[in-house]
Amino acid sequence: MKTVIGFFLLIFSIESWGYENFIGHGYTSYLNCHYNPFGGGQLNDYGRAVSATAISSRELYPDSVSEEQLAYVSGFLFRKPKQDILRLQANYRGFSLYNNPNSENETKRWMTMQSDIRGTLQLGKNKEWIISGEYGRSPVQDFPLQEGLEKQDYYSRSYYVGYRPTPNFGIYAGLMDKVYGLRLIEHIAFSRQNPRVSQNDTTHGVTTHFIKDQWEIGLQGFVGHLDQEAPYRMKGGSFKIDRTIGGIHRIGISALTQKNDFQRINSASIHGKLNLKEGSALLAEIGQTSKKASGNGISQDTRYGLLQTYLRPWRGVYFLTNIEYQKLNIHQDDYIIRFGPGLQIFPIQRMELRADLYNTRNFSKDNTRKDNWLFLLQTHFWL
Amino acid sequence: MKLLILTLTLIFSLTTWAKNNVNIHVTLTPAGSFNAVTDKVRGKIVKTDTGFTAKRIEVNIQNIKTGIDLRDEHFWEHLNAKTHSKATLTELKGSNGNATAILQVNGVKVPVSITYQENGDVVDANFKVKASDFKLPPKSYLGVGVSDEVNINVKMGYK
Repeated sequence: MKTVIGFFLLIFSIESWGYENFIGHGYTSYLNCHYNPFGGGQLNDYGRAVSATAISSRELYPDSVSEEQLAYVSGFLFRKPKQDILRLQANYRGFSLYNNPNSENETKRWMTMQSDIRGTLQLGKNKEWIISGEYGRSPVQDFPLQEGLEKQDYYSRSYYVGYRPTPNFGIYAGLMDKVYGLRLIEHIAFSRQNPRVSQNDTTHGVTTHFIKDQWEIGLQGFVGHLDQEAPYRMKGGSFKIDRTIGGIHRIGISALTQKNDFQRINSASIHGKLNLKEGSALLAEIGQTSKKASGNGISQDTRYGLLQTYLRPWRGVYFLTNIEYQKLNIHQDDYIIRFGPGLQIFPIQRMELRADLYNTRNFSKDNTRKDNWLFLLQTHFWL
Repeated sequence: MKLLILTLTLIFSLTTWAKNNVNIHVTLTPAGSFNAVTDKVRGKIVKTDTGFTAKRIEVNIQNIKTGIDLRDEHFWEHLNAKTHSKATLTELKGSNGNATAILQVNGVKVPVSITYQENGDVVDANFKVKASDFKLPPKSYLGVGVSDEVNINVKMGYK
């Protein structure tokens, strides 16, 4: 049982904020709202203000509270910072997870998935230098977060130095996520698991970011997580190219190659984000991953697809539909479909409530148990 | 019968109203964009033998919505709506898909060149303007700014 729960903890760990669907609010790039131009990690001042005034509901505030006041109190410690150098953020995220509810295989558990503090130093005349990092309690103290890592009670998911000499170009070095595909919050997603770009696949490396007019390009070289035992470190490189179309939508391509002593993984995908206006969006990605074992040379080609819709009927509420496809071996007939609705509510700034139902169906002749059901309730607070 | 006529009139007027729309596409820096939109457009376009004319088309700045309430407030403030509450397009004359007019925002009049096409009984017009031409200063909020040049699309039914 402990192993089962540990497994779920690992695959359902969710990084903080960085939602591709916010293209529905006109934000084609993460750069406006995050220090990391490829998303995730700490929100900047603008991101906090957007979360308070566009993402979160204002139903619980009296009419006398203006939008400007909501933005003002979105800062750390409920106020606009009095200095420009240091920005802090604290996060807590907990899950209720029900696996196969009302069946003999049922497991349920409340879990603290995220409890961390983040800090970013902004230095230079135009804040062109940043030093950013996060540190928190590991959600799974009994399991190493990556193969070849020590078990850790406390850990850092990312820390990096960034230099942005112009608004169009930046270079970042440190421990970061790999630059590849749509950066979904659902790390269970086949599009994150197969290319190994999930939240626990962070790597030391150097990333460059270029943005101009309709184009946004990321290029990354990485050497694996340096705390890993050397044979496990995935070394390689990736790129991601996005183009804005129609002024509000995005299409892009990504490619990733990585290798350690045990295997080589090559991945490529095409992805798109459609702005359906008023905060609603549609996300899609299709990709393929080729894995080849170093020892016996056995290879496997996996194909995956994703379609997500986020519909925002009113401020603070998003209805989700998630459809995923995976063909683990493209030369065989078996495939998996994962489908489920979800509801995401931001009742007040600094709070996110989310419910997701996942049905995973295995279309295989040999699989006697075709359906797996999962119900997730999560609560997320941040300061 | 009166009720039926009233209902039909209402439906017809709503349909006509819905044809009118102004969409201002604003590009953000470093990335992204938003549309500032209103369907409350006053004025009329008249079809002539050679093309179209309009004496005055106007929108109330505070009827323009950007999708985020705080951004609405910033947008209105930036366009100096308290002092100059309306944006107007006057002296519109067009033929063969090209038109000229005078756009007034922030109390400043600027001639604009417009391209248009007819879609059924709607004129679909596009033009670009620079905020700086209307003496509107560069604007940014918490590090995110707006580009000087904006694209404007106007759709209006004509008689």
